[in-house]
Amino acid sequence: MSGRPVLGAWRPVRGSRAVMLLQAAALVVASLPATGVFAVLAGGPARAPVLVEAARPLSWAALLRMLPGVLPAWAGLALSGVGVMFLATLVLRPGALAVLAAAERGTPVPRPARAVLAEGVRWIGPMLRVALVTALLIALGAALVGRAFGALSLHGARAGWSDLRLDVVLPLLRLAALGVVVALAGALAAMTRVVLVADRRRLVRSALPIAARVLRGAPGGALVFPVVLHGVVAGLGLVVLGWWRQHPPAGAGAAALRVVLLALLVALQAFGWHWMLRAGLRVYALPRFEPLRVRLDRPWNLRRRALAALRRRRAR
Amino acid sequence: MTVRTLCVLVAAAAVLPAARAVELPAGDPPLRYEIRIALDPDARTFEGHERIVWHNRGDAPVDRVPLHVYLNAFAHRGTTFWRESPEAGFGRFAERRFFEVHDDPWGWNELRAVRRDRPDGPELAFAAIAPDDGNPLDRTLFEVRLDRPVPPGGTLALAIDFGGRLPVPWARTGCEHGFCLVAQWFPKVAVLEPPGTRGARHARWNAHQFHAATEFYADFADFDVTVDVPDGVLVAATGVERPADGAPEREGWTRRRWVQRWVHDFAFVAGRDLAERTVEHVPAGRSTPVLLRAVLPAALVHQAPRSLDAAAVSLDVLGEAIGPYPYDTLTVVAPPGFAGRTAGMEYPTFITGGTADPVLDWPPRREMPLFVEVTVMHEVAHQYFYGLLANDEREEGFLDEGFATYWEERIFERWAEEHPRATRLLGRRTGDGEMIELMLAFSGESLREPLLRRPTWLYEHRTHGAQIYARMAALLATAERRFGRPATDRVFAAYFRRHAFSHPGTADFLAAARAAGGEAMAALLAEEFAARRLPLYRVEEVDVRRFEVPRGRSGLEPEHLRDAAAPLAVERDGRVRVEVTDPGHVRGLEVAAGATRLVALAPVAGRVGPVAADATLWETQVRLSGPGRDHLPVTVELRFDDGVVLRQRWDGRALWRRLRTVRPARLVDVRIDPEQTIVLDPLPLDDGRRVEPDRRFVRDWGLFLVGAAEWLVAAVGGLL
Repeated sequence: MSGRPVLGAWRPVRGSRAVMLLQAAALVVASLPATGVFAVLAGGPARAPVLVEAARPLSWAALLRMLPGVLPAWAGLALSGVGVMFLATLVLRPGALAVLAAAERGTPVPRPARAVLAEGVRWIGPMLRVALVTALLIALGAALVGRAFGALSLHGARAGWSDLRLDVVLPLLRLAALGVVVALAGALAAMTRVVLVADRRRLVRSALPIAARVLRGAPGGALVFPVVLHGVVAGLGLVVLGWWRQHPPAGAGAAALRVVLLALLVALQAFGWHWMLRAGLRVYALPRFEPLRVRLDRPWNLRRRALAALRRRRAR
Repeated sequence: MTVRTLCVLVAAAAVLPAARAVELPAGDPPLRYEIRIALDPDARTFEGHERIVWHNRGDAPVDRVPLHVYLNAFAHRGTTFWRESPEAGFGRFAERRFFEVHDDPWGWNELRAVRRDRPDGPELAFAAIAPDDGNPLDRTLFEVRLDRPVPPGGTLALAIDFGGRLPVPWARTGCEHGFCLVAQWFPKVAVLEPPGTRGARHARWNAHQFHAATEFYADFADFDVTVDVPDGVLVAATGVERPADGAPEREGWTRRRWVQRWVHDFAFVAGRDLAERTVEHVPAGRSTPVLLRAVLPAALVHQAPRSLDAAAVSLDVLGEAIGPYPYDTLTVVAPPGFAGRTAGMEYPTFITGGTADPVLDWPPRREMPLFVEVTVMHEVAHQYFYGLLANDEREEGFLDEGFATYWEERIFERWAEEHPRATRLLGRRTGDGEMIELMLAFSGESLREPLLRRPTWLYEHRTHGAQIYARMAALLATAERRFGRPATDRVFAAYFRRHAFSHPGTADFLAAARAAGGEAMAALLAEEFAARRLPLYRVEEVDVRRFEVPRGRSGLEPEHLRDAAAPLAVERDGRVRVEVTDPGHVRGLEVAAGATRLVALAPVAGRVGPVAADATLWETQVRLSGPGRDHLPVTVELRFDDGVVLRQRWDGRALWRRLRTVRPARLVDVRIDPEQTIVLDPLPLDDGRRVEPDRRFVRDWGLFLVGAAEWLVAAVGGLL
C-alpha cells in the first residue's frame, strides 16, 4: 500500500461508483418521507396571507408563529427518514466494506452493486449488535459527561461564577465533551465494522477490542480523520442550509437551483462516506496491525454447551 | 411692559419647553418613615429602628394597624409565598436548583418591639395574621393593636425595632457574595383606602399577605433613611442623598442618608465591588435635569452607558406622551449575574435593570437589547405605572405590568430608530412588540378568566404572566391601532393628570379613557377587561366552485334559469352583490334575530361591469367565526382574481357569519381584520386564508425543510 492510506483513499476503485450511488440512493429514499411537508405547508402556512405577504426574510415572530404548525409533522417525517437510513445502512455499510475490501485485496467483484446488497444482508446481525453497543457507549458517556458538568455547574453557582461562564462556556464545553463521546463511540463502531467485514468475523465482542487497539495505534487515520470528515461534510450542509434560509429564493430558476444544491449535498455526503469506508479499510490493512488480524474469534458456543449439559444430565 | 421686553419673553417662550406641572404635591402624604438600618452585607444581617407617622384619612376611628413584613416570605418553605411559587411560574426545576446551590438561603424580619409615639413609649401588642389563606406559618402581615384608637383626621406615631437577615435572592431581594439588593426590608403600614379610592364607600384597610404571583401596595410617604454599612461598601438608594446625622455605632462603619418625598417604597443596594456612573439628563417636559445613576460591578462599569441611555430615552418618551417625570433622581442597578434574581424590578426612583455580566461583552449579546435595554425600559415605565399611579398590584396587577409592557414597546420603538442593527438577530427582525404578541400566542387559548378577576394571585394555573403582562399590553395596543396613537396618548395623559400620587383602579382608568379617548374606546376597554377569553377571529371555511344551474324542477324557462339562480351575479351598477348571513346574538334575555340579506358593495380596488351572459360564474362561500363581542367590529376583505377587492364591515356580535357571492371571477383570499388592528387575537395566522396555497412559499419552505431532513438523515441516520 502507498504511504497515504487515509488521504489517498478518496480515489475510486472497482466498486466505488456502485457504493456511492447506492448510498446516494439510500439518502434520497430516506429523505422522501420528508416531502410530506409540502402538503403540510400547502394546507397551512402557505394559505395565510399574513405569512405569504410578509417581508423576507420572515421576522423571528413570524417564524415562531409558523413553525409550531409545521415542525411536529416535519420532525416525525424526518425521524422516520432517519430510521429508514439506519436500516439501509445496516445493509449498505457492510456490503460496501466487503466490496471495497475485495478491491483492496486485488480481487474486485464483478457486479459490485448486487454484491453490496448480497453481502450486506449477511451482516445485519453483527451490524445490529454494533449499533446496540455504540448506543450503550454513547448513553454511558453522556451520563458521565452530564454528571461531571453538573457537579462543575453546581460548584460554579455556589462560587458565584458569571453568566458567561455558567450559561455559555460550560454548556459549550459540555456540548464539546458530548461531541467527543459521540466521536469516540462512532469511530470505534466504524472500525469495529471494518474489522468484522475485513476479517469475516461474526463476534462483535472479539472485534471491539481489536478496533480499540487500531484506534490507539493509528489515532490520526482511525479516529481524527473520520470525525473531521464527517464534521466537514455536515458543517458544509449546515452552511448551505443557513445561507439558503437567510437568502430566500427569488426569480425564475430559484427552485431548480435549490434542487441542484440538494443533489450536490447528497453527492458530497455519498463521496465522503465512501472515502471514510476506504480509509478505514486501508488503516486496518497497515502491516503493524497484522497480529490483530490473525487473532481468532473465541465463540462461547453457549448453545452447544447447553445441549451437551442437557445430554449429560439425561445420561445420568 | 416694553415691546422689547415682550419680544424677549416671546423668544424665550419659543425656546423653553412648554411649562407643565413637575412638582410633587404641595401637602404631606399620609405617611412619614424615618428609618435607621445597620446592614452587614457579608453576614446578610440587619438591625433597624423606624419611626412611622401615619395620618388617618379615613372616615372612622382606627384601633388596629396592619403592617407588611414582606421579608418573612423567605423564612421557610411553609410560607404562603413558597407554597404558591409553582403556580406563579417560578418553576419546580428552578426551585430545586436553588436549594441545591444554597444550603441556608432563608431570610426573615423580626418585629422586636412596637411602641406608640416614641422608642420608650408604651409597648403595643402585635400578632401575625393571615386573612387571605389562613396559613398559620405565614408571617408577612402583622396587626398592631392600638391602646387607643386614632380618630378620623388624627395622627399615629409608631416606633418599631426590627432586625433579621436578608435571604439569598430568590425573588427580588437578598444578599449573596457581598452584594445586597435590599427591598421590602422595613415594616410597612398597609394602605387605608379612604372613601372614593378604588370604589371604596367607606375607609377600608387593604392588607394582603405576600403572594408569589403578586407584588406590593403601599401608601405614599416621605422617607428619611439612614444606612450604616462597613467601610468600603458602596450604597445607592431611592431618592437624594443628604448629609447623615451622627456616626455609626460600630467602628469601621460608614453612615449614609437618603431622603425622598412622595414615594411609596424605599430600596437600596449595597456591595463592596460596585461602582457607579452618573449623568444628568433633561427629560422631555422638564427644564431641570434628572440625575441618572447606574450602579454595577466595578469590573463591568463600562456597561453602564447601556442602562443610562435606555433610562434617558425612556424618560423622554414617557415625558412627552404622558407627563414629565417629577423626581430628581433615577438609579439603575445592574446586579451581578449571580444575583440575577434581583434584576428586572421597580421601586420608586430606583430600579434594577438587566444583570451586568461579561456575557454582555460577548459580540452576539452586545448588540441585543433584550437583556439590558428592554428591561430598563420596562422598569422605567413602572415609575409611572406603579410608582406615580400607585395601583394595587395584588388586586389589579394588570394596571401596572400590562401598562409598563405596552410602554416598553413604545420606548423600544423610539430607541430602535437610533439602533437599527439591534432590531435584527441573524438578519431577521426581532421587534419587542412582536415578542409580546408571541407570549399571547403561546398561552392565549389557555386564558379563560377575565383580566378583572380578583385577586391577581388567583389567576388560573400559570396564566398570571400572560394575563397581566401580555394580554393587558395587547389590549392597549389594540386600542392604539383602532383609535390612533394620539387618542390613546391623550388617555394616558389624562389618567396621569388625574391620578398621579394616588391609588387609581380600573374604573379610574376607564373614566379617563371615556373622557379623553371617547365612548367607543372606553367601551372596547371595558368589554375586554370583563371578557373571559381572548377574541379569536378565524376563517373557518372557504368554498369556491363553478356556478351551476340547479338541477331539478324549478318551474322556470331555461333562458331565465341562470339569471334567476344567480341574482348575485349582477354588477352593472358597479357594485357586487354579496349575500350575508348573520345568525344574530343573544345578550342576557335580549335576542337580536339573525337574517340573510343582500348587500351591494362597491369595490375598494378593481372595477366591475356588466356580466356577459356566457361568462363562467364562480360561486364563493365563506364562513367566518368570531368572539361575539359588542365592541370589536372588524373589516372582512374578499379578493378576487380579476383584481376586485371587496370590504364589508362585520360588527362582530354574532359568533359566526357567512358570505356568499356569485361572480365572473374566482376568490383568491379572504381576510378578517386586514389592517391587523386586533393585537389581542392570539392567532392572526387564521384570520386569513388563500383559496390556493402560494406555490412559491410551498416550494421555498418545502425544499428547505426537505433539505434539513436530508441533513438530519445523513448526519444522524448512519451514526449508529
